Amino acid sequence: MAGACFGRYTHAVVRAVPGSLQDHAIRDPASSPVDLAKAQRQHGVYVGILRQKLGLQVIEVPADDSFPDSVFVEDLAVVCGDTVLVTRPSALSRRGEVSAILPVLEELKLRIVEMKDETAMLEGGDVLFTGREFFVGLSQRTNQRGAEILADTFKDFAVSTVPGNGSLHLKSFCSMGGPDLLVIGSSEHAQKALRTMQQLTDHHYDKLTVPDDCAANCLFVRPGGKGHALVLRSAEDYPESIKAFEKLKDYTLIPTSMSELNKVNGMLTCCSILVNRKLDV
Amino acid sequence: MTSEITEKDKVIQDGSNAEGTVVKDADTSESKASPGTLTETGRSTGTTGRGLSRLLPSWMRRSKHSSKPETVPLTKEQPGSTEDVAEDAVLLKTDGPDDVSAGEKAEKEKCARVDLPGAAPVKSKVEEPPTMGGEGSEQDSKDTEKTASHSSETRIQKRGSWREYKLWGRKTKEKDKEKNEDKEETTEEKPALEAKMDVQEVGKEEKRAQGLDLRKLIDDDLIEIIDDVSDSEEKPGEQERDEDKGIKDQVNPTGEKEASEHAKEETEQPAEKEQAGDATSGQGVEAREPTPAETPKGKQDEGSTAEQKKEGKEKQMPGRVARSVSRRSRHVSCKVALLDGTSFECLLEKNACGQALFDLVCQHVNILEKDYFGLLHKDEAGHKNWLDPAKEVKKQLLNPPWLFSFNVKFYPLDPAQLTENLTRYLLCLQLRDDVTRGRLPCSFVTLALLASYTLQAELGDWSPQEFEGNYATAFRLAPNQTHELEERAMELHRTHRGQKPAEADFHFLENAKKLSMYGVDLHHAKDSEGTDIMLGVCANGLLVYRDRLRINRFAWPKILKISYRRSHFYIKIRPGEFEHVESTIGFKLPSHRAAKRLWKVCVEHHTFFRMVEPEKIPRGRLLSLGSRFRFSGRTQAQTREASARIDRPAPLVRRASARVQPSMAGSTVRTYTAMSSDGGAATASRAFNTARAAQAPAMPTSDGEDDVFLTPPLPRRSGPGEGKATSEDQPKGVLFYTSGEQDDRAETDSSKTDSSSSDSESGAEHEPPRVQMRNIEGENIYIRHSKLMLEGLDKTDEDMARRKDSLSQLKRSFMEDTLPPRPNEWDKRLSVGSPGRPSPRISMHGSPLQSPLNFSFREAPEGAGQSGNGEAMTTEALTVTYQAPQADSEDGEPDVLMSAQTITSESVSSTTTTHITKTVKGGFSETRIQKKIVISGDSDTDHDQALVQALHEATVQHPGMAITRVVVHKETDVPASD
Repeated sequence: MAGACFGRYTHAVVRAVPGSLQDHAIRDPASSPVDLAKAQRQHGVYVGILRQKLGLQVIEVPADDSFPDSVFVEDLAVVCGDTVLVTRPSALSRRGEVSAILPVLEELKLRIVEMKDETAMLEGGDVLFTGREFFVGLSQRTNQRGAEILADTFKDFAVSTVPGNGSLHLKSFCSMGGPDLLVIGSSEHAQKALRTMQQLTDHHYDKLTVPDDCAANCLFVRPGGKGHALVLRSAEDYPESIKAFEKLKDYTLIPTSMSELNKVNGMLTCCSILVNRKLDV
Repeated sequence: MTSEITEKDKVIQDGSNAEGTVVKDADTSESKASPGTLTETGRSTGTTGRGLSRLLPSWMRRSKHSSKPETVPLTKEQPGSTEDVAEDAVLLKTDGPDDVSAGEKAEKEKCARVDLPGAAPVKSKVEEPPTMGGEGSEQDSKDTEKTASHSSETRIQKRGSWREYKLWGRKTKEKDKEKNEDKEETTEEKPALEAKMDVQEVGKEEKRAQGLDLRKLIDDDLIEIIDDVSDSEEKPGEQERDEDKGIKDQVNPTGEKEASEHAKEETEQPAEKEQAGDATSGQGVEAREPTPAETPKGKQDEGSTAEQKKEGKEKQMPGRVARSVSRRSRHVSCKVALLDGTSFECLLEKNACGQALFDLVCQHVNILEKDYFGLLHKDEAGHKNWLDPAKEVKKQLLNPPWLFSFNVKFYPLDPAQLTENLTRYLLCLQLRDDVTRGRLPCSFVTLALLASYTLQAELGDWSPQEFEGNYATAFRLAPNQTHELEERAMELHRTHRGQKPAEADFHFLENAKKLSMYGVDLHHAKDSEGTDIMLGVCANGLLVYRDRLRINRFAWPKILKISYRRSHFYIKIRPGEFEHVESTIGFKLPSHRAAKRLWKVCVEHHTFFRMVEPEKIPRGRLLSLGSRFRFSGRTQAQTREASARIDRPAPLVRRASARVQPSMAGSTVRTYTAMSSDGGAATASRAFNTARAAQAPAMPTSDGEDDVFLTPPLPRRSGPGEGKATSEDQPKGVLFYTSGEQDDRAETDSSKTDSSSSDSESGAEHEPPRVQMRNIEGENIYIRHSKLMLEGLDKTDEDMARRKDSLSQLKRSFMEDTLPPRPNEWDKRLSVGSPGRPSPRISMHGSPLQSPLNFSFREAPEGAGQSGNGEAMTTEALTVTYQAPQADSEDGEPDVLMSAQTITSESVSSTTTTHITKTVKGGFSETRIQKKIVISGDSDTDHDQALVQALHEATVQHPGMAITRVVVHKETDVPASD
C-alpha cells in the first residue's frame, strides 16, 4: 500500500509565520526570544524548497495573528492516502486554527474526518507514519482517545502507541528518513521510544541515529516519485548531525536552517502538510 | 534477535551432543533401566546431573513400570515444580530407547502420570497446589462423577487447569530453570538437532520409528487428557454419554479410581482397546503402561500406527475407521458450512477423529493445501473452537447434530506463495467474510478496492451493456455497505478489465494481506490492572491491543513459554537486550475455557508459523516439529513444501458467480471464457486425478489451467476488438496455430499466476535444459518431449522439488513484473500472431537461466519457417488436441474417467505421443485425444512441411473430432560455431 509510494507528494499546505508568534507562541520558558524576521525568512526558504526543489504545489494559507502557533500546520491534520484526519490540538489557543485549513483540504478533495470527541486530543506532531503503520506518541498533547480515533480513521494500518514523552512531540526526536528508514535522536528518551517502536512493530526498519534530537526531524520526499530527497537541518544548526546524514547513499540532501522556529519547538515537518493527490494505483 | 537465537542454538547443540552419548548408552530396553535412568526428556539440552538425581519422579517410573507403582519413591515435596517436570523430561529423554525429542517424551510421561492409578498418592503430594482454591467447580464435577480418590482428583484438577507450552528458540534449550512454579504440563520445542535425528532414524530402524510414533501417540494422548479434563470441568454430563468404559478409564481422570490392575489389564489387551475407540488414545495408553514383557509388542503396534499417521492422513484414516467400524457402526451426521455459503453433509463414524471429518471436507472442497484450514465448531457458550484433528470428534462436541464451519485457520503471510488458485480463492472467501463481518477492519478506500476485485472475480469484466445500475448491491461487500462504497467499487471494477478471476483474487489478497488485522485472532482479556484489552494471536506473535491501539507485541522468538492456569494466561518473556531478567506476564481471560482456547491457538500458530525461516528448512526438523504437542498438522514450511509438489491440474474453482446466470449468459466473451475456464479446468483436474489414482504414471496431466481440453467446442463469439481467435473459436477441423502454447492458455487462463506458470512451462519447452522449469502444472508430457525426449518419466523427487522451486520463483518474479494492471495486456497476448510476447516472460526464460540455447517463438507456420533456418538443431513439439463435439459444457457434475491411454510412436524425425482420455460427465461422454508430435532434425529438415504433414495425419486419423488446440513451439540449438 504504502511502501513504494511512500514519500510521494504532490501538494504541500503551509501557513505563514504570524507576527504574534514572537510573543505568544507556546514555548519552553527557557528558550531564547525569537527573531521574527529571521523566522519568517527561514520559513520562506523552507517554502521555497518545497516548491522548487521538491516540486510540490504549495498552498499557502495566509497568516493570522490571532493564532500564534498557526505556522505549525502539521499538528492540525494527519493525511494518509486520500483521507485526512483533522485533529484536535490540546492547546485551546490552537483549536481555531483548523478552520482556515479545512477549506484547503476540501479543495484537495480529501476525505475529511473530523475529530469530534471532546475528550480526544491529538496533534500531528505526535503521529509518525512509517509507510506501513502509525506510531502515536502519547504526550501532554495527545491522548489515548485521540490515538483511537486515528486508528478508526486509518483502519488499514496498525496504530501503536508510544507512551510518555512529556511535553515533546514524538516527531521532535524522530522521523522517517526514507522508506523503512527511521531517523532517531540519541537522547535517552529518543532511544527509549525507539525501543518501544521496535518492540511494537512487525516490520523491520533501518535506523539512522543522529546526535541531536531536533536534527532527527527531517522531511523525506521523493520528488516526482523518484529519487530520494531529504530536507534536513543545516550544518549551521546541527553540525554533527548532518555528518550522520551524509552517510546516506543516493540521497539529495537539502539542508536548511530552522533555528528561530525551533525556539518555539518548531521542526521541519511541523511547517507543512504533505498531500499526495495524484492517485497512483 | 539473531544473536539470541544463535546462542540458543549453540546451547542446544551442546546439550544434544551431550545427550547423544547418554542416549546411546541408555538405548536399552526400558525394563532394564533403573528408575533413575528411565526418564527421558524433552529438554535434553538442559539436562543436568541434579535433575537426574532429583527427579526420577514417581510418575515416570510409573509410566514405565506401571505394574509396580508401590516401588515408586516419593518425589520432592515441592509442589509440582516446573523444574521438576522439565528435568524429568530430560531424564526420560536420555534414557528412552529412542532418542525422541524430549518435550514429547515429557508429555508422554505426564500423560502416564495422569492416567496411572497407582500413582495417585504420590501425585497428590507432588502436585499439591497452593493455588487450588479457585478450582472448586472442577472438583465438584469430578466428585459427582465418580468417587475418585481425593489425591487423584487433586492431581487431575491441577493438570486440567494448568498448561504450559514452552517456546524455546527454534532449537533452544531453556537454560534458566524455572523455579517453584507449579505446573504440570509442559511442552517444549524440541531442539532441532534432535528432531532431525529422529526423523532420519525413523527411516532406518524400526525401533526408532517406534519411538517416534510413540512420541506422537503421546502427544495425542496428552491432548485428550487435557480435553477430557476440561470437559469434565465444563461439561459434566458429557462423560456419562460415553459408555465405553475402557477408554474412559484410560483417558479420563475419573477412571483413576479404578485399581491399578485395571490399567495393567488394559495393557495386556491392546487390540481391544484400540477398537474401543480412538486408536490414538488406545495406543497412548499402551505406551504409558506397558508391562515390561509386553512393551515390545505394544510398541511395535504403536509404531506402525504412528507411521501410518505420519505418512499421510489418508492412510491414517482408513485404519482408524476400520477399527472403529469393527466395534460399532453408529454414524453421526455432520454438517459443515463451507466458505462459499454451501454446506457439506456427511455421515461420520461416531468414533472418528477430527482428521477424518476434516479430510472428508477437504476432499469435498477438493483442496490439497489444506493445512491452512480447519473446522470450527461452536460450543454451548457460542465460542468457537477449532476441531482438534487428533481427537475424536465426539469428545470435542456435545450431542449431535454436529455442526461445523470450514474456515481458514492460518492465514498465509504471503498468499502469492500458495500453489493453487483454489486455495487462494478459498482464502478470498474467508477474507470477504472477515471483511463484511468486521473482523478485518479496513478503510473505505481499501474496502472499495477489495470489493472491486470481488466484483471482477465474480462477474468478470465490466461492460456497459451488461452492467447497468447498481449491480454491486447484490454482493455483500462491507460491514456497512453504503451506496457510496458500491459506486466506488463499481468504478474500480471497470479498471480491472482483463483480469481473470484468479488474478482478481490474487490482487484481492495482495491488498488484504497488508491490513494490520490480517490473520490476527483476537481474544478478549484483561491485563494485570483489570483494563480491557485484546490479545491477538498472529503469525508473528502475540499482539496486545487496547481498543484498537496496539500497546504491546511479543514476537514468538521473544516468548519462552506460554501457559495457562484457570482463567489466566501467562507468557514468559525471554530476557532481552535491555531486560536482563526474564519476566512473566499474566492476562486474565473471561473463563478457563477461554484461557485454554487462547493457549491452544498460540501453540498452534507458533508451531505453524514459527518454523518458517528462509535459511534452513531441513525436512527432518520440520517434520518432527509438525508432530508437536497440540498441533498435529504440518507447519507452514512443510505445507509449502508439500504444496510445491502438488502436481495436478488446477482444480475447479466454482465461483458463486457461476451460479449467477446473467454473467454467464455469454454476452461478454471474456467473462464467459473465464468462467468456463475455471470450470473446465476443474473437470480436467478431476479426470486427471482419477487417472493418476488409477496408476497412469505417464499420464499427461495436461496443464491444469488449461480449460481448453474440456471446454466445449461451442462456438464462441469473440468480443469486438478482443482480437483473439482461439482454437475453440475455430470451426471443427480447422487447425489453428498460435504462437505458443501459452497463447492458448493465456486466453483461457484464469490468472496471471497461471499464465506465468504456463509461460514458464512453455519456456521450458523451448529449451530442453529448462525442462526443470516446467512441471508446475504437471505437464509431464512436455518434459518428455523436450530434447531429452521421453526421458523425464522417472524423475527423482529431488529433481521435482528443484524444478518446483525454480518454477515458483519464476512464477513469483513474473507476477511481480506484471502486477500493475495492464488492461489490455491479455488481449494483446491472446491475439494470434501478436508480435511480441510480454517482456517479463522473455527475461524470465532467457536471461536468468543463461541457457546456451537460442530459442524463438514461432507464430503460425510462416514464423516457423524463418526461425527454423540457419540453425543447427531444431526441435519442435506440436500438440494437437481434439475434442469430441458432444462434450458437455456444463461442468457442474464430476466427470468420470472411463479410460486413459498413452501411445508413443517414433519415426526417424519425429516422435508422436498420443494420449487419449475418455470421460463421462453430466451424461455425456467425452473423448479427448492429445497428440504430441516432436519433430527433430537439423536445419535441413523442412519443419513446416513436417508440421503440415503431421497435422494432416492427425486430422485424417481422427475424423469426427474437433481440434480444440494446436500448440507449436520450437527449440533451437545455437550452432556451436557461431
